[in-house]
Amino acid sequence: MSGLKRLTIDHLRGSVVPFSLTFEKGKKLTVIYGENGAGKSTICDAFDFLGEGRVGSIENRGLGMTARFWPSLGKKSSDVGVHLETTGSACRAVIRKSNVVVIPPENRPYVEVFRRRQILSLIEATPGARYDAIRKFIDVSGIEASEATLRELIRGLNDSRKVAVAIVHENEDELRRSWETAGKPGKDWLTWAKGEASRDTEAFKTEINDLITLQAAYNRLADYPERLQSADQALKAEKPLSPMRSSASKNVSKV
Amino acid sequence: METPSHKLAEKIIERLIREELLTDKHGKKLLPKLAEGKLSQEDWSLAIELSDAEERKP
Repeated sequence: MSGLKRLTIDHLRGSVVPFSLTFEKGKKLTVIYGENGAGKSTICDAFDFLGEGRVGSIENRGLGMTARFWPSLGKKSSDVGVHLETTGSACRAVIRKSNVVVIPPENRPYVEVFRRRQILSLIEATPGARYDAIRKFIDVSGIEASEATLRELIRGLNDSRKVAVAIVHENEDELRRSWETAGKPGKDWLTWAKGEASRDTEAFKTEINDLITLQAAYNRLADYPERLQSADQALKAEKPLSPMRSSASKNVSKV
Repeated sequence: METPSHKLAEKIIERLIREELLTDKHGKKLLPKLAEGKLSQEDWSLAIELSDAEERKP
């Protein structure tokens, strides 16, 4: 953050001769006091002129367009200038074709002036209106938006955590049931499950292959009971077999 | 010109770095978006995860 160094006012309002105000280095607050007509309001006007391109002390006083009152007595608009030096930069405001121009424009400072009548209306305002008036000095809506996003993220992560915990409980129940089915070996279900998990998977592969071979053999034998039953029935009723047998004998002879 | 949001964002990031939730590098990257209210959920989680990964590096 840059600090104020010097404000120089040339022929603006009460500044009949060029005037410079040097700010104390490293101070965040400067108090300017003096008798009536000493130039306190002119200093405020200079900041207003530089930051807002206007002179607030004479606005809303029934004077109409007030720009003609900006130069000090006997001076022209082109004589008016305000120069501000800060620790990081400098800029100058002048009047060009009835407009206030800041050079360079990117160094125009952000200025808010609270005048007596604004402070008085602030005192009389309702709390809501009072907040609206000062919110630009304490506006942290950007932070509030970022905070809301973070809260949303935390809510989402909490929901994901709840789902993960539920899945863990389900898996634990399943492991406990498997442990019970296996006859509750070992100290407890968790020790047993860890032992099972650390078993050499190669041994499982051999067992799986053996089971596959056994299943294939079983499939091949699956229709044997039926075939055996048919054969038994055929044996019991030998007669119906005779034509088949003689036909088979003929076929064999042919071959 | 530093706005109140920027000043507060600086204090927040400083605190998060001090609490070791963010590294200096990732914390400072978040600062402008934090002040402007443009931080998405992904920005937050990425910065925290990357900071965490860097902290865990031997």
